[in-house]
Amino acid sequence: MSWELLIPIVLGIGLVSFSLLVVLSRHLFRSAIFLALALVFTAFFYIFLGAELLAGIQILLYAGGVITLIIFVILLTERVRMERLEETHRSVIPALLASSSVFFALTYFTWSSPRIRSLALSFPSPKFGVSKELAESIFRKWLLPFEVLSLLLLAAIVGALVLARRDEEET
Amino acid sequence: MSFYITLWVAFLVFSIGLFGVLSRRHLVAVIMGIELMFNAANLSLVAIGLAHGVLSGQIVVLFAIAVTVAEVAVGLALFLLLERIRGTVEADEISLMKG
Repeated sequence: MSWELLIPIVLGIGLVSFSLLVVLSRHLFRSAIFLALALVFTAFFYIFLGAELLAGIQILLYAGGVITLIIFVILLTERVRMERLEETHRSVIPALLASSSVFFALTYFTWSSPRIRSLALSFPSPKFGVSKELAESIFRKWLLPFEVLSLLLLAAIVGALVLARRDEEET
Repeated sequence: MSFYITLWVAFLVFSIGLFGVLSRRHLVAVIMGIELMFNAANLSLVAIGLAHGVLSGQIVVLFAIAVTVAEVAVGLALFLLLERIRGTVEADEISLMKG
């Protein structure tokens, strides 16, 4: 078996099993840790696909920032009472039906699509070291979306601050 | 063949995340399922961009990651507010819209 086949299989098994653990773990804190591991495995997948800049950003922003925020909110909302961190699932059968039907629909349409098949036949081996082209493309062709995105981030910061603040005049 | 494997893994992770969104009680666990779904969509975007031989796939994923981080920050702030007002972050007990 060639490396080009072995690497995605190994990474995929890791990613899928950690995602399952995120969803099935009864302990909320463990779910967050498994989510961090799944995000790191996705970063490895990005490296396999030749997107090393994205892998770095994924680890910095997701596995660093988002997981920290999530753990912070778990600890704040649960008031560090370990007995309430345990939780159960609800309506398992409908959720299982919905998610598996979505999965089978996606798989069926992908397998039966001739366009996807021609893409898979001409799948190139990943090209590394495209960060320079990526940066040029972002700051020339995609400059307006980039600036709009910075505005959105500013709005999100202000919104999160306003929402999470305690109202002095009410209390 | 590795293209199909990548897409298949992305679909599997997407459905697992959907299951998490539909079945977890705690709102923070729901947002973790949404993160998994985002991740799967990003993965398939990168793979399809590579298959087309264009860089736009990676750039769109870059923007999507930034938007997701903003969304998570606002969502978690909302949960803190909800916890302060209603005293719970369980999805079943937040039934304001039911009347």
